Amino acid sequence: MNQDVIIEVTNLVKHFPLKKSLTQTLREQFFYRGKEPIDLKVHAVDKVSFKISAGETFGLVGESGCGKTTVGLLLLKLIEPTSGVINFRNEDISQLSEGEIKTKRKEMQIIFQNPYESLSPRFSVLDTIAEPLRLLKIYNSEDEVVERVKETLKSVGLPQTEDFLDRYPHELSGGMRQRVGVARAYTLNPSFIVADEPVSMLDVSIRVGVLRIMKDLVKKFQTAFLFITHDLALARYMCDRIGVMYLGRIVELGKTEDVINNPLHPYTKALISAVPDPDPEATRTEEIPIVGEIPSGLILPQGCRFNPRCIYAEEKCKETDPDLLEADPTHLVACIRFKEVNNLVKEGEVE
Amino acid sequence: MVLLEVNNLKTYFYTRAGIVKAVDDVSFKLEKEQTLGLAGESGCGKTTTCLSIMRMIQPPGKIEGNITYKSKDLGKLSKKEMKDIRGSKISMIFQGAMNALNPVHRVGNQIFEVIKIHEPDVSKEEGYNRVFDVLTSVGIDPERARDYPHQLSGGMQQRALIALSLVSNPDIIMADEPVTALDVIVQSQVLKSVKSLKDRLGLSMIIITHDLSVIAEICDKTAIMYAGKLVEFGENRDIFKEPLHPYTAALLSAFPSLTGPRMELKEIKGAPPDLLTPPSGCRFHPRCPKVMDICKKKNPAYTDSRKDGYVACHLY
Amino acid sequence: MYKLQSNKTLQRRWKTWKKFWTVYKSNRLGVIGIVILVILIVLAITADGLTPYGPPGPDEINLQESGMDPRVWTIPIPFTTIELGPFWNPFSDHPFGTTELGFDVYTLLFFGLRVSLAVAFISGIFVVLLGTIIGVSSAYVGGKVDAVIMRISEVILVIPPLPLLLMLASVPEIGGGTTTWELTAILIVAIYWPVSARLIRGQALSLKERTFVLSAKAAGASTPYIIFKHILPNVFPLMITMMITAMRQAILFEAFLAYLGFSDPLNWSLGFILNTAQAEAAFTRGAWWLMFPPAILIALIGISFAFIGIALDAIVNPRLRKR
Repeated sequence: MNQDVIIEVTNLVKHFPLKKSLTQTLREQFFYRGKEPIDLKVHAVDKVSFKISAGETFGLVGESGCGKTTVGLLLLKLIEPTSGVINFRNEDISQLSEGEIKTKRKEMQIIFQNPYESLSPRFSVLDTIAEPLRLLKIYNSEDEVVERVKETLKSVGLPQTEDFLDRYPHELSGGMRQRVGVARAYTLNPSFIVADEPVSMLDVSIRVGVLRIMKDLVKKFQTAFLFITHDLALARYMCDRIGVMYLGRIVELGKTEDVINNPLHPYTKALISAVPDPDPEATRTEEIPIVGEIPSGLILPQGCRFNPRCIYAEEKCKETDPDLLEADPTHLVACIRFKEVNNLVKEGEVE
Repeated sequence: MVLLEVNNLKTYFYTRAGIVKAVDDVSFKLEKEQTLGLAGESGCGKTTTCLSIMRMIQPPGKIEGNITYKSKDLGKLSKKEMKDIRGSKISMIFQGAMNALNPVHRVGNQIFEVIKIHEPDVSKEEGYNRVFDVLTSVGIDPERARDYPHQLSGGMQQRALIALSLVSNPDIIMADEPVTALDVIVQSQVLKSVKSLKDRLGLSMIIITHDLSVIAEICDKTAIMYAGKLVEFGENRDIFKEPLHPYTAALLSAFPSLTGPRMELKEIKGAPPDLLTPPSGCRFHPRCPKVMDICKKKNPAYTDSRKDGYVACHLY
Repeated sequence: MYKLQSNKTLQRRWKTWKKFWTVYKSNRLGVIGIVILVILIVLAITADGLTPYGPPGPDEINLQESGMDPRVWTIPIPFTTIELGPFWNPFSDHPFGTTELGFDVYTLLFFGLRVSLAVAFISGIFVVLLGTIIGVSSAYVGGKVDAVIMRISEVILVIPPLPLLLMLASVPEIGGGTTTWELTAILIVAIYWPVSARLIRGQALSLKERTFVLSAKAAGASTPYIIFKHILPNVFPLMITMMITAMRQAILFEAFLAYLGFSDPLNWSLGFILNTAQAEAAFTRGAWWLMFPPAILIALIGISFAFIGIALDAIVNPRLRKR
């Protein structure tokens, strides 16, 4: 099992400190000397832990601002983590410098959300897909590069003609561009791919095509795949396991079917009941109410981050920010009251 | 009672590059206290249809066809008469709340403006009372009327827009992608508010969206559009359970569901067509799994498929 | 054998250029601008061949044969006489008149055009080059260096350009010694680079965060690679627009400086002709030929750049394109 684990993240933290203005720094120097300087930071990602094995698709689900995109960028070392361990094939890459990690880059790639932004407008299809190959000097001759690009285009279902290779992004539709993005990510045969909301900007009828391709490629190459999305239904379709994030922490983690059919954390429950169902006749389950709005990442609630909005919250919830507890060896929840919460619900005694 | 009747609406844009048939012969009816969902992907003409109803199409676009509101032909009204209707009898909530609210005016003032435009004689006190009332009805604390738009969250901005459109007690509200930009939980909160408002005030609405699940939640009837044409129209129940048009069926099977069995999603090959040179005959034929010879030649006419619905397909 | 972009890209570039020209042609102002500019450039280059006299140099003082002749020339026509100003007889060897010292204005105009255009082009190019280097570096280095550069550029921008130019020009090392047109160009670049640096830095900053740059980083791109292959090509359209604007400003700055006397006395620019005109009290004496032609030429240069700039703007910003 351990050989299979490609990516293992332990207690990953990323805080973005807010820059202080000149006057603020001066004020602190002269007027507040002796007192604790107020260091505001955005708690984007806090103590996130999970692992992904080869051939497994792991979904990171949450609303905007929960930190899922940041996790994706951290894993690829496009952002430096504040602390924590990122194990890639049992090697800790979290502290490696840019130079040291360059050779590893061919093992991990990313697919971005916006097909209109993720391709350089000045690079042709050939150049875009070949860029990783050329940068990492994989092949020696231009012909080999072109051959490889054609192979990749075939695997994503795009034409391999000379004419298509010469096209520029503005001549392609959104779906085609996204496929080029997928092709580019797969050119190097990486063992780990992060996909950040890869289909949310595509038309509905196009999405399935792109998703299907990703699924096929994952299966064929046994890639470890991190699928970031806000759409639970999509996560259900694509992922083997999912982690639900809220305000920088994972609040529930487990097999997709378990989490979706038997959500344990109050936030997950609320999230699931809020997803509209494309079936007008479906019995709409009593919606788990959720109060208020998502607080900013600057000033966190005391204790459990969800407690101000949680209908099951009690005093003790304000004391500690819970870590993931085991409900099942494969189903983890970050809620100290999860046992009571779920019993209550089962008996219909919702307060 | 039929509130709005659209008959053979054609909105063409006469550009240098050619004629873009954004809306090509669309017909439907909206009855009182009914919510119609106008569904389709980007570029299919749904926004243009509603803009045509509001007669907000700029040249080189031209509107042809018959739009009747409460038995008045909107095409024959003078500019002033249309202005009176726009915003007060038929109002529209545009896509992208952040852009629709003026960032330098307080929210309460903006809503008051709308009242003032249509009822210049209203007193400040009465006007602001109505503003507070309408804010409460959408779920915003009236205290927040003094806030600027950027001080409100995304969900509240959307509700503020809804309040803006409600304040003159319109008969019809058209909402363009009202919840697309919102997070899931906020989305469901806003949809709930809309539903309760609808029931309480007896509103008639047209909801434009590409998200069929939103339509399933709050609409009674649905009209599916593709490449400027209306391909299926009917009661929600019918369309979702037994979609007749191959496009509707394909669209439905492209939405992964959270409940129910984990199904295989089906792909629709190809891409939505270029409206400058749409395919001949039925516009969906290049992508249709059930295409026949006649589909390439003739544009299908509307056939009454069932009670209160029709479909445009050669299969029927 | 090992390239970073394929051969086809260069072929493609040629096609893009042709396409660009077709679109550009449709904008009438732009075409007028280019036509005027090309005509002026051609005139400037062939100055030697078209003028009866050489450039005003230390060896040639092309005085009128008859020396200084302040007479008022008249044209006799039945019943009236038309009075022309002093030093001008369209039927003499100097159809455009002369200055008080006898320099042929026609010749002066050609050579002045050459100098003015040279200053405009060199200043424009260097303003953009310097602006790009500083702007992109500042965007990428960030931190204190960026802040310092921005503060310096702000100081320069806050001071009104013309007085600033004068201040710099009157510094003894600069203004007292030999003035050449290169010096003028340097001065102009010195006060105008912040404009282009800030704009380009802004674009570079926003490009830096775009996802295709992140993609390249994820593929192992180094910072120089990203700058040369991703940032610069996308900044290029802005650079061109900036260059045209800088050239337009340069011609005006140059005329300003030269009019006040800051110019090479051996290489007269159009502005210096105006200086001469002013020194010789041309207006009060009615010697309009000394003032209008150079001014018109300066204006024409400025207008041609302005039109080209408008056309480029229209192309880059599709909303301005006519339907």
